[in-house]
Amino acid sequence: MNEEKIKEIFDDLYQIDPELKKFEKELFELVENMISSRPDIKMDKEFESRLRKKLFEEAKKLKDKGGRIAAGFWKKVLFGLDKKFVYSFIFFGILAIFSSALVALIYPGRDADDEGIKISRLKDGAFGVLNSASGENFLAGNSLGERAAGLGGGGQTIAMDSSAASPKAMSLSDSVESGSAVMPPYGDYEYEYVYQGEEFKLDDASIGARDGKMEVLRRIKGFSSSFDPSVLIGDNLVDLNSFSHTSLQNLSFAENKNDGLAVNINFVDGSLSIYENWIYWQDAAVDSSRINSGISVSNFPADEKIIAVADDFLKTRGINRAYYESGTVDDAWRAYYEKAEDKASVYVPEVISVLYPLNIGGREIYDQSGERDGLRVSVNIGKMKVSGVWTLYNQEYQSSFYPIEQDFEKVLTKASAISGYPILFRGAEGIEDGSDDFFSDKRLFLRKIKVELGTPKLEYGKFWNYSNGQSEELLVPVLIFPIANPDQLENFYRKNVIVPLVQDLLTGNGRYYEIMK
Amino acid sequence: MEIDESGIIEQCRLGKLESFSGLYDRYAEKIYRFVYYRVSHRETAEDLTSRIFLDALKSVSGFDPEKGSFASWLYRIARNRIIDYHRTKKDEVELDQARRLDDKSDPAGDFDLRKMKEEVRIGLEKLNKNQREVVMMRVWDELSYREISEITGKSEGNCKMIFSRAVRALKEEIPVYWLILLLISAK
Repeated sequence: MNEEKIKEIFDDLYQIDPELKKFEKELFELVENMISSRPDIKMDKEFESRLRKKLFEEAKKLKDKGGRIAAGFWKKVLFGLDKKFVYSFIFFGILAIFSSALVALIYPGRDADDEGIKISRLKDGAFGVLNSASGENFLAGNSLGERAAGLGGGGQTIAMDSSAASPKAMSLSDSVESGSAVMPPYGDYEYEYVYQGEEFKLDDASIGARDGKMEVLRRIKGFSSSFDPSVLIGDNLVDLNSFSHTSLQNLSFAENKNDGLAVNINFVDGSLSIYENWIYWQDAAVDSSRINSGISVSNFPADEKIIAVADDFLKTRGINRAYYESGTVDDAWRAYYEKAEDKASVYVPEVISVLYPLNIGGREIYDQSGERDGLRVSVNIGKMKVSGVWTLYNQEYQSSFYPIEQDFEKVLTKASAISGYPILFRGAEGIEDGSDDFFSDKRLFLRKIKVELGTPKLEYGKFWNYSNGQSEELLVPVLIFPIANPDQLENFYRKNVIVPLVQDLLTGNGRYYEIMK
Repeated sequence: MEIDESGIIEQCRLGKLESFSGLYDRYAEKIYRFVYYRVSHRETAEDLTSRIFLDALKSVSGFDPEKGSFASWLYRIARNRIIDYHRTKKDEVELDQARRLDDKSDPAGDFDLRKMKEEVRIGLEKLNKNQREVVMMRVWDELSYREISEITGKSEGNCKMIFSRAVRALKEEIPVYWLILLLISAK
């Protein structure tokens, strides 16, 4: 309680008992003492997150099953915006059309179209073959990608597997998209995965499968609303009426003020991103001092302060956190810093990412590099302000049962196959036979490193299936094997190894792996 | 941007209970502290906070804004839950009471008045039940007289009067505090 509030207490008091004013100094100290005696207690973040989830589930139970939950994204968002903006929206007549669009994305409970994470159950195998592309890419990515990266390869495969030998620390300038297009450290390693965990069963009863099948979720992209853009522009620039069968695919708007934000809504993907309106974030975007921003390891704020900034932003912007666990700061740069020999050369990030891990039905969601997946909030450290929100998706799914692998030994084989293919790097130094021919095979050498895998847990992994020219976002049952000996591994930053249980994906991987062998 | 509390409540009253998370975000920490100050035990505070919000969720559709603010309504649920808790435990420590030094009724308690400043502890023990409750709500929970009035069922004027008498009573003890402080600092 600040001095002003204490004064307010006394102002009230003097109205009742003016005589007390004579003792103001003593009373002021007395109240100050009382305030300083107040226990400094804070709610445990884990508890807060658990209770939020419990309340959300309870709310769903209480609600009439046939009813639909109002979401009110637009009301939620627009209420907080500049009124002129709202009016302009109303003028364009979009408000009514969009009000049903981003139902669960931001804030559940305003429209009539959602029950939190809505899952429509379909017949078994309803998504067709799951390994049309992703299956091969998965393990292939995890082995080939490392090789390709080492040899200067590129493409999606690298992005998918890059954290194996990992590079995450080197992608600090892009703390948002973990594992994306980053360069692995130069090295000459072959990682050999060895299971050191406890006995693990994959029968129906142990893992909650049904006749050897488990549920795969496919996120429903886009929103149900459609919109004719011709109402916006008419025929001033182009006769939009000449375009037929149109639908709104993207909508962007921005705050034109200092540290203003921009919002992009992708109606096709069913996603929303918030990012800096660069014109108004000049010191971050243009100022050459960005290279040396004054942020160092010694003055880098504590994780809890960064999380508090992100929490506050989500709260004030009304972004629904019901599906997400408590935020954690992406501290990959610290790991890199700790291991770096030349610490002065380590880039201390100016923007750090806070991850709110997604949790569906009690299952954690992982990306293919074995990292938790969820809502990412970027915090600008210099300003201690949120500069972006990413991976905010419409949480609506279809589900279908698919056959899974229930032989743990076979799953282990797949786990060891990940990155099991020899990773050959051309050595920049240390020519083994003294050859000075850079392209000589004699310059390729390996160092075997044993990676120990602990007892796995059953969670969901995010995979993509490229089907009919579109990428489908799938959540499939996976085993998450923790790396048991991280301290003994050099240049290795992966925390987990992820192996899908769905046979479609394993078969694809296995086939590819056999070919590589 | 402030949360549109009345809008959320209206949605909840219409049966759209998922909106309740907005209210939870606003009040979770405050209610948790309110409970903790009165039970002095983390796990108990968490348990009671869970029950309070579940109670609130189940009955929010019946909340009548004309009878008072949502905050007061929620604190009233919390107050009742805490009273029930102490009754169940047959604990002599009442809602408003700061625990006495010799109190062993909650051995699991991880906070007690021993951690308080001596003068504050002695002062609060001098107050009667009503005075302690109002003082704690006003100073520790930072509630307004109007809210205290709605929570306790006393009139706003009465709450102010109780507070002023409590302060006057504490003022009378001030010389004692200085003596104690002198003794403590002399140690």
